[in-house]
Amino acid sequence: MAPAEVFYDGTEAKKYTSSSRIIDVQAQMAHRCIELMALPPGHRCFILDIGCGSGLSGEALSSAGHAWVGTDISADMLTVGLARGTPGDTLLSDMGQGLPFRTGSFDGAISVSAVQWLCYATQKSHQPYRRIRAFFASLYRCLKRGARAALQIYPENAAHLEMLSAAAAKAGFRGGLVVDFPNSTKAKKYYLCLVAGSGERDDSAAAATSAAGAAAGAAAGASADSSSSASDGDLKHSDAAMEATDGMGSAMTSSGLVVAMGRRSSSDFEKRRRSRAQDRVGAHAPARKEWVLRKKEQRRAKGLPTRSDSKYTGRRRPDRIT
Amino acid sequence: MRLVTQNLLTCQVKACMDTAATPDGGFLSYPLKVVPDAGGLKQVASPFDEGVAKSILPRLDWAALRKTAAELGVAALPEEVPAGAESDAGFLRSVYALVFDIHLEEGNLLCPHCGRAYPVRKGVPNMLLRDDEM
Ligand SMILES: C[S@@+](CC[C@H](N)C(=O)[O-])C[C@H]1O[C@@H](n2cnc3c(N)ncnc32)[C@H](O)[C@@H]1O
Ligand SMILES: [Zn+2]
Repeated sequence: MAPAEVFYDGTEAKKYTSSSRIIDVQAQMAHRCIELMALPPGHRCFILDIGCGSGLSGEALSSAGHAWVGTDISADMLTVGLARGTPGDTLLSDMGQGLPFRTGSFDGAISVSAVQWLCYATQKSHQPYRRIRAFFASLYRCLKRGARAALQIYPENAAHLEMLSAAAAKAGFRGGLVVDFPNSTKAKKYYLCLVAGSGERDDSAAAATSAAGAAAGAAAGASADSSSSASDGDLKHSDAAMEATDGMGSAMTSSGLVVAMGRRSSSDFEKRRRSRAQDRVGAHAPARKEWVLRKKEQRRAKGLPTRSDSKYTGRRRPDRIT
Repeated sequence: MRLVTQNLLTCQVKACMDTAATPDGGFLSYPLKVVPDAGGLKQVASPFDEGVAKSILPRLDWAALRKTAAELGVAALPEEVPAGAESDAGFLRSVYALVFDIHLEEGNLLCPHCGRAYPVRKGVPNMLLRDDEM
């Protein structure tokens, strides 16, 4: 496997400005990470973006009103970010070597699809365990006490998930794993939601509880279970979450982290989204084709370039991701 | 890279970190010294954001900022953050401009303890370590 700094070369980096699918998915996950950080409402915060790449996640942070600093190992990705004109400062830095910030620098941290890279030895000198430990220890150090990190990851298997979550717990983090869209192979997403505790047990347990609660989001039932196990300070899983993680949940046993189920299946989500969209259009809206034809007439009347009408006019395109 | 970021950065060389802590809780390896190339320091005015200024002020390491500003000759800061600073719009504005509008585009960040130079190119500090530095 190629190292991240080789994989994310100029060609790969370009996709982060040209592929609307990549851009959408990255932005969605970044927004979800921001939500999971559960920052105090109304506060402008200072956030670390790990694997900030081309700055799509940074744009999400900026649009939420936060200042940020990003680190990434790929100069090509950062170059794309510079061209984009990202408002945050970026550094060339390998998270496996530790994050180069002083104690208590940030109110929170996010990461989109980057941290799983630590599980691979892509250089001769790499020792994944050592790099993962260095990363979480430095992350813990550079967060303010009580601050949260929301790290979206693509673990290849249960062992990788266990490596990451065990190292996070060892570094002093509390928190849990949130699984969004657990029933969809494609949309399923893992978020490690970590709280840098104050060291005082009560305090950090409470923080972890609310992290799991906030993390669980729409999860019905599961959140109550996982919250209570968080305040016990040891690990229990809610059955629903266990099932949801396809056995990956069992990887969490020794890590001391809580598994919570996040957003429901993407198909439910999609259905709700669609019905909401239909509500907006309203029952009296003209049928799609008529509406398109009318719009096209208006354009022609204004002398604007308009395609001629055909039997395809106003049809949904099956290849379009809506 | 702006001074707000420089205010957070520390040297990561293992041997340096192992020996940098001082008895009073400080670090000999902090702050990294800003050494611009000729013309490598830029000032770019950005719109003042009071919310961000207020949230940044308490977390700045003031002594480090004061030292850096003096070395660069860009501002003479008081020894301590003046009382009531967080509600003094003029003061917030000048701190904001200092930490957000001054950019190191080309140059180096120098560790004051071990002497390691971290190059800055196109505004991006290269903090990558060699294997023998870890
Ligand atoms: C899926 S991309 C995320 C892109 C970014 N969120 C954005 O908005 O463009 C993953 C990023 O993680 C970075 N990455 C991988 N391993 C890394 C490491 N060890 N340290 C820092 N960044 C790393 C890659 O270079 C890549 O830019
Ligand atoms: Zn040093």
